[in-house]
Amino acid sequence: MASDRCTRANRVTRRRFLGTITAAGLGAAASGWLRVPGARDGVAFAAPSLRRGGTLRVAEIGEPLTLDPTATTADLTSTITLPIFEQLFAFDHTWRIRPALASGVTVSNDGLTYAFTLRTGVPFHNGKTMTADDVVASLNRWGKISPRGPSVYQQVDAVTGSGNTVTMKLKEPFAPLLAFLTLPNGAAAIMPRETVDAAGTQPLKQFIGTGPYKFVEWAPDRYVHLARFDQYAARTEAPDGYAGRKDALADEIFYYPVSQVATRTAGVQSGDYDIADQINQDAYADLIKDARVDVGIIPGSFLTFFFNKKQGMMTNVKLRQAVAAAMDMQPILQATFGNPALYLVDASIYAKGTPWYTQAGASMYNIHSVDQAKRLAQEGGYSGQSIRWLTTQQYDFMFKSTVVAASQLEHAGFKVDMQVMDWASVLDHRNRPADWDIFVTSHGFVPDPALITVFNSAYPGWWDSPAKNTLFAQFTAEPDAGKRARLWGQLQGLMYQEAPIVRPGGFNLLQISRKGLPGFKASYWIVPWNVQAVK
Amino acid sequence: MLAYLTGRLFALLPVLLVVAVVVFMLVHVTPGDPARILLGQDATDAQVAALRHDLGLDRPVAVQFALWMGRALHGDLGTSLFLRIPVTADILQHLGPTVALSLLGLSVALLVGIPVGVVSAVFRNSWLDQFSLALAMLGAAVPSFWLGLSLIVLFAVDFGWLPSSGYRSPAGGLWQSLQYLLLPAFALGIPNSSLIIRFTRSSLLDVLGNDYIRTARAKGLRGRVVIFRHAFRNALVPILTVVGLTFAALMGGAVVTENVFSLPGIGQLVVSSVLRRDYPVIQGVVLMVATAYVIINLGVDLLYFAVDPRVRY
Amino acid sequence: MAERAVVGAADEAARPGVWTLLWRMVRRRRVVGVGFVVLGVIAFAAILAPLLSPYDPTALNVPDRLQGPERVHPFGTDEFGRDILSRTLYGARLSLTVGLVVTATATAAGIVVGLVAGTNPRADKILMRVMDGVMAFPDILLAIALMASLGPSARNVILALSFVYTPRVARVVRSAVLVIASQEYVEAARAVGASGVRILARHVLVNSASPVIVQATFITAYAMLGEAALSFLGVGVPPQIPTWGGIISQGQVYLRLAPWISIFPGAAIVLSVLSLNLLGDGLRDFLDPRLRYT
Repeated sequence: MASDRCTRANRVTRRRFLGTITAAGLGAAASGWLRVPGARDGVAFAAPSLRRGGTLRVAEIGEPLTLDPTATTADLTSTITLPIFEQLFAFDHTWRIRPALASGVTVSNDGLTYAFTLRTGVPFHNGKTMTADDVVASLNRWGKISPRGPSVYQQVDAVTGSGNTVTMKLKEPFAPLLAFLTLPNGAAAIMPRETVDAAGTQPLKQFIGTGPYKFVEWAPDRYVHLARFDQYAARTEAPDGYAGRKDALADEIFYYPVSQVATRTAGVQSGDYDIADQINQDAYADLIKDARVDVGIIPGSFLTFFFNKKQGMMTNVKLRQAVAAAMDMQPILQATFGNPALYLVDASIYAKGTPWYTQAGASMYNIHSVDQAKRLAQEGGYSGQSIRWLTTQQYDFMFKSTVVAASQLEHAGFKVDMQVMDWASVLDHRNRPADWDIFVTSHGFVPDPALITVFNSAYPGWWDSPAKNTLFAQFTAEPDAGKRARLWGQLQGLMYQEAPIVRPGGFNLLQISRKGLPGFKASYWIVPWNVQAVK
Repeated sequence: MLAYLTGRLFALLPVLLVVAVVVFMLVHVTPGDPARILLGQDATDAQVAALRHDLGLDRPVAVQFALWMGRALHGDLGTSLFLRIPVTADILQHLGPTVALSLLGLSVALLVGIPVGVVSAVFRNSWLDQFSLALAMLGAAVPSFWLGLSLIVLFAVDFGWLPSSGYRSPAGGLWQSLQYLLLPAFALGIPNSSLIIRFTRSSLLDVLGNDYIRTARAKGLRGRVVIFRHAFRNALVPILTVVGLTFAALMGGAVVTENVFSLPGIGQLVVSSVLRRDYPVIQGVVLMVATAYVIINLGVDLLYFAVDPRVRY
Repeated sequence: MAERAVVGAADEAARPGVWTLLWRMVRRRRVVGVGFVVLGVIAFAAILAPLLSPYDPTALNVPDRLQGPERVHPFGTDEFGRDILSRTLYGARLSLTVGLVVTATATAAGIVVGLVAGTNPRADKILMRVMDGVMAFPDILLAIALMASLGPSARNVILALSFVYTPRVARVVRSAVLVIASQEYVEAARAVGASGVRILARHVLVNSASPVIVQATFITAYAMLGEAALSFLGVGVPPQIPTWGGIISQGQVYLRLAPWISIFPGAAIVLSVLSLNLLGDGLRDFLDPRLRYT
């Protein structure tokens, strides 16, 4: 049973990486869900013991650049907007797709027509009832401005709606379509058509969704304030991951930008915050002994260094391979994450035991040979130019990994220009091909590899090789799961071959919450519903 | 008196003008085109030229300055590049915590500084005196961020007596607000108390050695009365100077303290604006703070004036 | 402000040497000697950092990370396994260099401005308003704003801080100039035929030396604290270069786990600033006790 696996995963084994729990399909541990001991798994929704009221206070890593859930892949935005907006579907804790605003979907045999049946009587925060028009407008907006949408919409012929059905016609089969529509990151969030029309291509000015909490106020640098939406149309199934029934127990939620992790941590310890996101892994040993906090471990993330393949020196594949060859992954991960139980040096993006596990490309992973790096650099015509590397101290692991990697590169004869700025500036600069050669970020667990940002030619880094495009198109068009798994192997191999990124390895995220916060389960994007506020 | 006041106010104007010029130049000596920074690298030249015209960047610098000053005098400090709200609104939102912190920090500095200074002066050259002076020196040498971090670790995390960070407006409860401001106030006030200690001590010593004090003692007045009635009031004058100086130091020091304790004040606004290259906000804040400082100094001078009749001229 | 200049050095037939003066100063207040010695040690350590450092300060040694102080690493290691002792020594280089260069620049610029202002009444009005204007800003705030325009680098930190502290020196020099210019012996010297410039050079500079030296000492302390604060906030020297403020800033996250990362550089700052303050106080008391209020 899912909960058994999760409980076992909870105990830290010093020598075992926590993500390698075997499971059929996508096990909960590998998928990004870990139970806090004592919290009930989604059996019967045991609401009676949890009372309503109070304020939930979440400490986040900083100020979001935008609150438009569709326009960015920044997890900070996804987390803050998660309670406000909903999508047609939602993932449960095993990353299975569950109905949310849609009550169901039928797919034609040729895989080209998706008919989504919408729920009726679902109100938006402004009182208007959701209609097919709103869904069509929202989906089209997603297809136009979201980071992942446009590449999907290349396959889309038309999206039409009438009554309570929305039909999406594709030009070619696209196997992971539902996963794309369900991911709450760069989300196909459903909002009123009027909001979509008013925004156009500009950033959203109004944040109106169907979620259990409505947007109240965004005081820049102080908080984002959400309040319970009393008319929320909840589902009836038991809560499970991001899906099922969402009860807005807390009256209000505040997301505070607390850019220093020490302050975030101290804040939960002293009771100022209920939940703190993104805690540095080094603190793990101390925090599990701390009687004031619960530690949530979220596996499945991996570290990434993205190369600029559109402009600049890294358009040369030999140079990219040279940089990859110069890096020694073990010290990078150890310096960045500290606790060996919280990171893994392994070529496979997906953990062992999952259907996407593969060692394809491992021969080009973690070569750490200065000689080979120098040879490749010479072949690539490296002549001492500075590699401009965007990083930030706001995400601790980004800065630390950059320091170690840059030092290794310098050791191998490269010159590195480490540009440390705030996260918002990194997000800004990485959109401009003239500004950088490498930037660092992390990638969370995604249930379908097609969602991984590196395969999206529009995502900064701009991996657009013919080989990738062909293989990726095959991967997304293929309906058979077994064949897809094989194609994935080829894709991962291609990734190590063409080196659009360097992936030092996988790691677990840490989240802390005050001890025994009723109903809270740590997750990649924080789930604040069904959680009882203490104050 | 009125003449003095008007005279001082007039003397202020050139200083404020210089302040405005310095602040204005802060952005206009930056390498790079502000319009291009606003629009991004992908903007076409036509778009950039249009924005430059809109922003008045194609006019001579002097004209730009006049326009900016004109808007500033009306309270329009431009719009934040990052948050897209008026700078004035942004600043006002962040003002509360900084004012509260500065006042509280000043109180700490005075509450610690003056008594210690008095004790030091009264028991001059004793071990108490030496000890206080040594402490004052030490206090001045400790970086406020270091002190802040240590206070957090001790009082908030280890003992759990006080919150470690954040801010609650006094509107929501004075006592709670105080709890959040206590540690920052100490981190800010202690290093700034050393100057007050030394000034209090030396000006009190000066005054205590004066003839009229000896006369008072000769008349038979008790020591304590002598000190508090006669000496202290006269020692106040130089202390007021220090208060003015300290307030400037506090506003500056508040930047670091706000960072350590995550107080959403002006200091944190400046630092994030610097990191984001949000020039309108940086300009607006610096202009406002400098103006405030100048006015506060004027206020201190006026107090000076009121306290010490000898100053009137 | 000095109300009366110290008696002109030209009047002393046999001026005591610098060392004699220093010795007298230390004898007056023993504690000044302590300051001197500590400062000397720090300067010595900074200059000889490459020789004294047991390790390369930027050398990563990840398996050795977060070790407490021990024989192999007397100050412990940071999260990358870098030796804190070596980083503190090299940090001394940067922090002291910034402090000294800022002082030199601010002093030089201040002397020039003060001289011009003191001798030229028209320039005086403008210059003094400008100086007042610059002094109207809280130090750190102005420095931060300047760094925003200039961009993070050691050179820009020096520029920014020099700009911030120049007015202090300028005011002091200007006062001295104004005072000297009214002295009768200057008129007498003129009568004898000495040129204006020579008068300035000899009398003004020599007589303003005391307050300038005192100011300079304190400016060094402010500059070191200022650089530490700027680096701590992340707007000073880029984080790759070891500076005391930067090391403390990066050590924040490990305050509980590895407090030695922040303790030693912090102690270094405290010691440096303390000894500079002691020195400044001693100089002030020694050179002219009436300067107590400056």
